[in-house]
Amino acid sequence: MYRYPTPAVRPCQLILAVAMAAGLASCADDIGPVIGIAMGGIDQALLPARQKRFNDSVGIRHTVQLRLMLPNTYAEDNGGLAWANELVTTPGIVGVVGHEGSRLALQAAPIYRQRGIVQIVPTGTSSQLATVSPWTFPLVASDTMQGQLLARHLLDRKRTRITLFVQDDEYGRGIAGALERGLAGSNAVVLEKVSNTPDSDFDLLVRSVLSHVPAPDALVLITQGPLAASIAELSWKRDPTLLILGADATSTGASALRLLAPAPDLAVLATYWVPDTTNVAEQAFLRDFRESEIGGEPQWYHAAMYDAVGMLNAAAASEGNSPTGVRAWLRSLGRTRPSYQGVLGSIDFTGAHPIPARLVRPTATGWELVK
Amino acid sequence: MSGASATPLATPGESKARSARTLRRTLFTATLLMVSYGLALPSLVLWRLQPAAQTLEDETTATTSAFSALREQNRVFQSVVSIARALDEQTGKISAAERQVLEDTVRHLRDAPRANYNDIGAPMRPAFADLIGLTDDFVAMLDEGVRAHKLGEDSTFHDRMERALNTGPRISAALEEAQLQGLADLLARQQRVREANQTLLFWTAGWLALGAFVVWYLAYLARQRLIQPLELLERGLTQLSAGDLEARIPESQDELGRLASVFNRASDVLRRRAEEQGRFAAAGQLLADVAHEVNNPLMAILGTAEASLASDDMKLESRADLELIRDQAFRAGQLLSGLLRFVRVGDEPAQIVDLSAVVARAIDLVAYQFPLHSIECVTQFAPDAKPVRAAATRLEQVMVNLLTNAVQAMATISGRRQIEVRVFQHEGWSCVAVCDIGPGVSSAIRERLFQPFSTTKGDRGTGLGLYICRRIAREAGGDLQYTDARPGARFLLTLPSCEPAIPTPVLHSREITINNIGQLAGLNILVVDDENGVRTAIARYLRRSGAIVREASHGRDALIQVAAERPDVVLLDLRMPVMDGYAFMAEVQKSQPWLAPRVLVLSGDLAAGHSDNPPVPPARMMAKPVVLQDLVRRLKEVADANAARTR
Repeated sequence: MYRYPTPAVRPCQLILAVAMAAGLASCADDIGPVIGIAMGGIDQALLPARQKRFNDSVGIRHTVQLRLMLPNTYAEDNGGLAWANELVTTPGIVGVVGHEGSRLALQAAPIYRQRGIVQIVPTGTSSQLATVSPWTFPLVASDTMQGQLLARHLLDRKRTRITLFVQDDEYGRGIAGALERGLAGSNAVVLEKVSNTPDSDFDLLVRSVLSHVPAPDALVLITQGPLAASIAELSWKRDPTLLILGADATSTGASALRLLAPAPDLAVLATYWVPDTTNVAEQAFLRDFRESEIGGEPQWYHAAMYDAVGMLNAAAASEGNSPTGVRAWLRSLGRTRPSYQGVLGSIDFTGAHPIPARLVRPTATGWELVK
Repeated sequence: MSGASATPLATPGESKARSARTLRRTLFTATLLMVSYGLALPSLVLWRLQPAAQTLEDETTATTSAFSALREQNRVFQSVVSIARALDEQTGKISAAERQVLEDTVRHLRDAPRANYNDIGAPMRPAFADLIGLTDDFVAMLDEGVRAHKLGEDSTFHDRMERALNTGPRISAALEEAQLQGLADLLARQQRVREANQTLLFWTAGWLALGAFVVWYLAYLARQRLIQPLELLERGLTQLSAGDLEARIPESQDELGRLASVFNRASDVLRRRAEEQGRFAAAGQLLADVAHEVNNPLMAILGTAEASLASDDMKLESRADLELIRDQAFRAGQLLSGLLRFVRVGDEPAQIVDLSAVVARAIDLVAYQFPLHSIECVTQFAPDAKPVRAAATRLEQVMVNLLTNAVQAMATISGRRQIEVRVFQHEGWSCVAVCDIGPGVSSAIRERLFQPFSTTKGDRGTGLGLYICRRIAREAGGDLQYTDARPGARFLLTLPSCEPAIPTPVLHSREITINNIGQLAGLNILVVDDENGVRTAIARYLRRSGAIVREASHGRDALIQVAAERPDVVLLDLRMPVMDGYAFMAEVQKSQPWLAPRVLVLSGDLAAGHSDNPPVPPARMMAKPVVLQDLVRRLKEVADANAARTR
């Protein structure tokens, strides 16, 4: 049976707790601030080199340590709770970057809230993240904003028969719902919402969707990148005129989509990062990414994690192992302190989600912003 | 001075050992304690129970909602499974309508309400997540089956149905697990509330025990800091009121301690004053005794001089000398009478008195000091000054006090020294102004000039004089005020005027005429006085007035002579050996009452009577020294009155 952390203590326990807290506080001073990384993938390999450089840089008041949660424990973790419970008991912990995706982040948020630990969610887009806890900071625009952005583009491209491939979770439902609301009142209709899983028979689904009468003139893929690439490939084989829009989750299949697209205008993806080589932070990010063992092309979620860790580093280096100080530091961004200049752009938490979603389309060499 | 022994209520060491905390701080601390105590328990309840209750309330709603969703999801899931199984097992072709039923049910399952992750308890989330993931897979599989059937791919349809149905038991297990987790979560929260409740009970019991201790401590504090000092103060005041002027109470440094300090100082002052008053009383008694002793020779001198003056064959030069002797003796007698009157101020009733006469008598009393200090005393008595209703001797005391102060003020300056006494009428008030040209009263003293124990004379002054003077003035309905005279001081006594009940006696110089020969002719007068000089002089004068005079040297002798021959009038001294005047009168009253109204008392100290002595009517009392002509007149009046009674 799960036991809630209970405040029921006897006076002697209280005295002991105070003494222990005092001892722990003095120890914590020695330990220094710690940042937990609950992303769980190989992408974490991006961070250690960066962290060493950060701690070695001039003017750092407190050396910040990273606590990387091992990917091989992820499968055993029911919804990320075990990671969260482990991280909050780590001495010196001041903040956590994670968890991956809205669902896990939402599940873990109450645990961090109870301990007053900051949680920066780099990749979760659920609107609920903005309200689940005062100490949960979603980094990128919500699914609602992304869905409305996609709907607006569909209307701009005068597509009226839309089929949605939806990953059946908070993420997929959130964007799909926002998109449908964005189309409401126009002549565009959503013909079908097709739920899919990694085990789905995409050929069957695509054949079914395209056999619909009337046939769709646009597909919106709100699903993970590899699945999206499969769906797009099968769809364009049958109808090369189809406009395919991908939500931000499709970015892992972005390269494939770019190559598969019959025409540049037929593939449009939502993303939170448009590369800008003049950005100093981005230059460092790209260098770190190349030096890491991740491989492939850097994606927006790499940049988001990189920025989230960078921000927490700056806060912890300034405030030490004080969760209160770190919280206040993050709250002060854009208010009494300049916004954080990251890879994704200028970040502060004066609004619910600091980084907006944007649309890109393929070019011969990469992607360009859809004006 | 009280003869009671000193009763120290605490040693000085104990007083010093007392806490330096003030009573105000103690009361503030006690109040703070009580308020803190009162607020702590509600705060404790809020702190211990409220979070548990709040969590229970918040998450129970979410859990109830989640259970409702689970129930609905389970119901739809069972329905979908039934339909899917039926269609999968159907041997014939599945119609579009049958497929539509499945499609609708699947949509229903997909759109069924799901638990909100934000609100449900953390332990429930993994089970719910599993359930949702499995359900999503189940729905996706069925959706694929439906789509395959639409495309006419029956084998794919059956494949998807079977795969979906194979997921069914896992979903059922997940549903069951989610429900179990929900129940466990509720039980955990119930346990938490129970623990919070137990903790609260523990704290409440402890708090009440602490409260009992606090109450005991506050009571102890109140006893130590309030009740005990007040009891000591009460005991000290009781002792003081009982006449024990040496009563002292322990002093501490709080407010009650300061009060005790004031009490002790007041007790000291009262004791010193009592000692001084004791000395004053002894001096007064001594003065009375001396006055009596001096009055007799004065009376003898005066009587002899008057008797000699009554002789026709005296030379003019000798007559002038005798007159000088007589006048000075009379003046000395008057002075002594005034002194006796002054030192024996009692409960004299208020009566209509001539203010000017009172002032004049007071001036007479202190006049001897004027030449000593080269002081010029200027008096001014307005003829229209009306009498006042007051005790004359007390008014005289006020005036003597004011004049004495003025004389003492004059003694401190050099050069011209003058005191001005003015009696005047102002509207309905009879006023006396006493002005001097001394240094006046400093501003520091002026505000408390009429307060008790306020003196400018250091150890020489009691500090009560002006306080008593003002009190006497106010008891008479008037007031005594001070104003700066620049230079000097000016005291103004104002008293409400009243109409004279009797014609105001006019002050006059005493003219003694000797024309009383034969006035007492035939009267048998017995003169009883132990002073031979007095008795002889009076007897001689009375005989010249035609009286038959017999003499007795004390009361017993007088009784013998009365028994031998009845006198018309007995002239009786009071202080005598063998039998004094009072005993004589008592005996007369008892054995020969007819003689009582015929007794005329002539004594040097009329005020020295005792309460158990028989009263003597004022009409039959005369004070030594007396002008013999007045004595003759009074004797005649007494004789005539008794002659009329006899008739």
